[in-house]
Amino acid sequence: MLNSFFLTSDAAFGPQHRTRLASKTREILFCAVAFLSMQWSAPGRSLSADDLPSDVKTVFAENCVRCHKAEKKSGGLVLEAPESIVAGGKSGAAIIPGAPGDSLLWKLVQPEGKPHMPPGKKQLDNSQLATLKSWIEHWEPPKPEAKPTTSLQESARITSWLPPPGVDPTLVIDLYIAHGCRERGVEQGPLCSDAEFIRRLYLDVFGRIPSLRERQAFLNETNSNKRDLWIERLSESPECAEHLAALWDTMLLGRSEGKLEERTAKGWHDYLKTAFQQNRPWNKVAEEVLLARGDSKQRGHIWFLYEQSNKHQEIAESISRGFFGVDIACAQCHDHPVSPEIKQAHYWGLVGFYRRGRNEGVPNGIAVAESAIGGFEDYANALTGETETLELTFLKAKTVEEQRPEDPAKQKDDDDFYVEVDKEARRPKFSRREKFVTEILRDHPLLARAMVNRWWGLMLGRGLVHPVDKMDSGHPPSHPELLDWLAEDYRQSGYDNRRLLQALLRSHAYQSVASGAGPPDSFANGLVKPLSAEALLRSWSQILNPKLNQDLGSTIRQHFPEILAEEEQTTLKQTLMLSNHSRWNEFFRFESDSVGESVRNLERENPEQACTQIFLVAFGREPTEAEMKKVVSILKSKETEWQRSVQQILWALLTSAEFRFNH
Amino acid sequence: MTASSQDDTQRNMTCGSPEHSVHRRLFLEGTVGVGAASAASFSGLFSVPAFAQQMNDKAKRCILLWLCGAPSQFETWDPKPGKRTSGPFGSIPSCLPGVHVSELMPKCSTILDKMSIIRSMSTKPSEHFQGIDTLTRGDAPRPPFQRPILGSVLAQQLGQLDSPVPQFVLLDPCPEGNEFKSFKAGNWAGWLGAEYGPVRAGGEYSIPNIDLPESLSEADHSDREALRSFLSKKFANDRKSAAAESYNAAFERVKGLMSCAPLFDMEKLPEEDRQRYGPGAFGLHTLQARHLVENGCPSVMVANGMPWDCHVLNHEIHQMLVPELDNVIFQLIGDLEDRGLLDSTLVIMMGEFGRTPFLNPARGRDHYPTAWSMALAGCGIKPGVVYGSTDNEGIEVSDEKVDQKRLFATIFSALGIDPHAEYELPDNFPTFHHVEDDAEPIREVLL
Repeated sequence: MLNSFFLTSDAAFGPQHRTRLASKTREILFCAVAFLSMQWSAPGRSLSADDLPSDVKTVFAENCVRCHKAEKKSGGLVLEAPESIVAGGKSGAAIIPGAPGDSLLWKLVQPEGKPHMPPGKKQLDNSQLATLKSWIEHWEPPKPEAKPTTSLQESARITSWLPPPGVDPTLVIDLYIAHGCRERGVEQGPLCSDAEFIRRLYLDVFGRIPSLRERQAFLNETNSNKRDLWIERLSESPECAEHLAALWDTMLLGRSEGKLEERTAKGWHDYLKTAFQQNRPWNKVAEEVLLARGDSKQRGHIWFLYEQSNKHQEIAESISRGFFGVDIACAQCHDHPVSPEIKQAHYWGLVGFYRRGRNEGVPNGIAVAESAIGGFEDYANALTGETETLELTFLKAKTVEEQRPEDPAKQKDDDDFYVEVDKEARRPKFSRREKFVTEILRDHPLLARAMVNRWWGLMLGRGLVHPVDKMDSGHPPSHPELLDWLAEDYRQSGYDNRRLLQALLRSHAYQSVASGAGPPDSFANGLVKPLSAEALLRSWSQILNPKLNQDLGSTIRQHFPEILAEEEQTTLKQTLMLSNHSRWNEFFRFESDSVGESVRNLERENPEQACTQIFLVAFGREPTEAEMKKVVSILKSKETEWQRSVQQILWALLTSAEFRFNH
Repeated sequence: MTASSQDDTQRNMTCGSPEHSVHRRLFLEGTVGVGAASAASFSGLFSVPAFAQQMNDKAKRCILLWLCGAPSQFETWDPKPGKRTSGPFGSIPSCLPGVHVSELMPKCSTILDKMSIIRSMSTKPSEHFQGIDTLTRGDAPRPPFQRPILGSVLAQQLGQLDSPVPQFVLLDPCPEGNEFKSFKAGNWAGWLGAEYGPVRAGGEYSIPNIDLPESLSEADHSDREALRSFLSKKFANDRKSAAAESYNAAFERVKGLMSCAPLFDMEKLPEEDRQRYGPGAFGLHTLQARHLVENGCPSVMVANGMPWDCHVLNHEIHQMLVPELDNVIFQLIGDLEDRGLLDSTLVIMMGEFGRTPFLNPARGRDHYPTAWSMALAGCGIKPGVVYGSTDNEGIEVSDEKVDQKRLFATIFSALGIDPHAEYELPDNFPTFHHVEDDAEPIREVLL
């Protein structure tokens, strides 16, 4: 099957794409194909980390895994994954496939079971029993030689079939997307036009539409490789770093109007900007930010923890979401109900790593000091009321050992516990934060996967795992092998953001016409992407007036807060604002000197030309015949009120769906 | 207009601008004392000719009091006095012989003969998000297809798309609410399309930016909006984008909404009414819901964050919440009856599941989908029925289990909608029905 995929996938690129590939690249492509098909005939692997039917998983999750989980292993049995179920417990096999009557688990969940399961009065109801019975009757357990998997997605990663280093990720992306389309029976769309491409690229990379001059410069370029050239040029520009810094600021710390100035003043924004401008390895950035130490005046990276001022649960949730792509908020009170691999122990483990931190001012600026004692508080499971002991662990079967004082509450602080650092906040010899960075974060597979997925989501309109902060077993990736490959490639490239970004931008999937045909998660065609508040502001400002950002920045950000929403839904609040907000409407009035030159100086004598000009400015394209007719009729019908007509037309263009979305 | 008729319109406005502010009933009876011009513009407003007639023919409407977080059946409709599971509250006899409700519901106990209680709800999802999803949509999810929530289906089935009055309104003062918050961010109208999604309001009792700025005339705005709409529709068609359609639909809504702005202005409702329902946001929004259905909105959902999720101190919290609920239901049903609207307005009172028979160590009741209660009243519902029962301690349903499908079949039937009708969907969709698997409505609670 796989061989046939490679024989046919090339055809799926279509002629335009093929001419775009330099011949040398094509050679590499075919080498890669040969290599891939060879390696791929290796024994099959389980794509899904969790092969239990969801209804069975639910029965187990709700009734059994509180005790029968990897951490507790009551009776030696773990009911979390097929492999652990096959392995059975201390009393032997729990399940005899095909024979419920002989299966120990089945016997014990009966009302007369001894010992009755679940313990106590609770009896599984008839439909839960029916679920289990039919599953046992039909279950085909994984073969014993199969590699055991944990249920987190990263376990699906295997390295034996990776194409050799140096293969352009774009080629791999194109292969997998083409393959996925064939499997789904979807036709891949053609590449978009140059005019569409340049607008799309500016919006994604600079967070604004191109000016008329910038657009024309690209269209006039004769080099056949010009898309690649522009991708390179734009993604290396400081304006790109600026835009990315704003995006990541929001994605990591959320929208908080009151904090924006401080984020700039305290160097956080510059820190992110430099990280993207210098293309610093993302793992290093993550380590710096999450260790939050500094001996010099360069302290922007400390702001991430500092802003969340000692709110350790918020800190844990934001770290998990921002750097691991996993939303753990659900596991605060109990193990995650739908994705059982996310434990309550992970939630409190991550809180534990950061619980000893405290904001401090030091001569060099801000710091987050760390205490050497305390932070052993137990947590309670809300479903059972049981008290659990905190362990330093997170989304990985690894627990950092720490010496626990006999009575943590009575432990006295001591200078001996600390490393001496001049002018710096106290730093303990055993630093939980440092342990988190060196033993949990470093090389954690989700660090690369989450970042790859986030880049993918930003550029392609939705994540391979969607939404991007729910990388759990409840949200399987649309293209698992591709995500595996890209994450591994990203890791091996030294967490090279620019390499990944450029690869995504060069891909056929990115450059397809945004026709909306086919299921969105096939990436067969480009997706329509809503502009972020920042991109709206910058694009509107470019046409109307730079003052817009200053006057309406806060309003627009509050009305359009989302970045990569799970599903884009326009709210009435947004459309009412765009219709009626008084300051916003002022920006369309010639009297208020707000409207920019490109529109202000339209050719009044020639309405057709004026119409074309205003469409080019706003949409980066010429009007269709019908549009021309409509707009010209407005301009002509109100000749005496030229300005009012232009204002109306401009408002209609800048609030239209075509402007609201990148396409 | 005279001073007295202005007073009248304050209470009985139909819609925005002054010429529309006529007392609907008077108007429909042909006795309204306003000039011909106003009358003409009124009928122009409701541009479907049959609209006024239908309103008169008791167009059907629905108010869903969505008790998010899930109230306890023991402290409301299914008390178990003297049993281990009972809790500290007693039960009181209702106006129905032999039927008791919690002592926290003295007012409802007097109008049980106008309602139907279902005491044998039994559903599957035991977590909020899944529970909310299933009990507002009527079926478990089947990704990637998104079933519309009840209010959206009713907007489509009972509503008039070109009516200026919003066809589905969600009132919810509380932006937070954990799982309810994520649910609220979801796709409500599902495969029906964004135009059937709710108009959302609440909290401030008014809608920001609902009036045009002074610098702009209505004519100017309507011109520019026509062009915006023309351009955007072309875009949404070319790109087949649901996101773009949702964007356009939201602009379409703006037009209707602006003309109905006063409908959402709580200040315009009589102080005496506000006293009776208030002071809590839940009560005031229920009053607003009454006002909306009186004025032609077929479907209103009243939510209130998710206060009912009592994992801690169940009794204390219910002691605060149930009396408010008791009063709000009492006022709503009484008002609808006084206005002759109860026969045509279905009131649904429910959460996403019930609460456990036993207390947890924090003296809370946890989630319990196995056996719980809900209530219905009004349109199509047989008054004074108590359907189904639970065992002595309320642990299992002992009689006549009702799942979400039967419940939705009952709701649709009560409103005169065929519960088994197929949705009209694009070719690449599987077949979906209002309710799947031919689930039977509960005949016993239907008229």
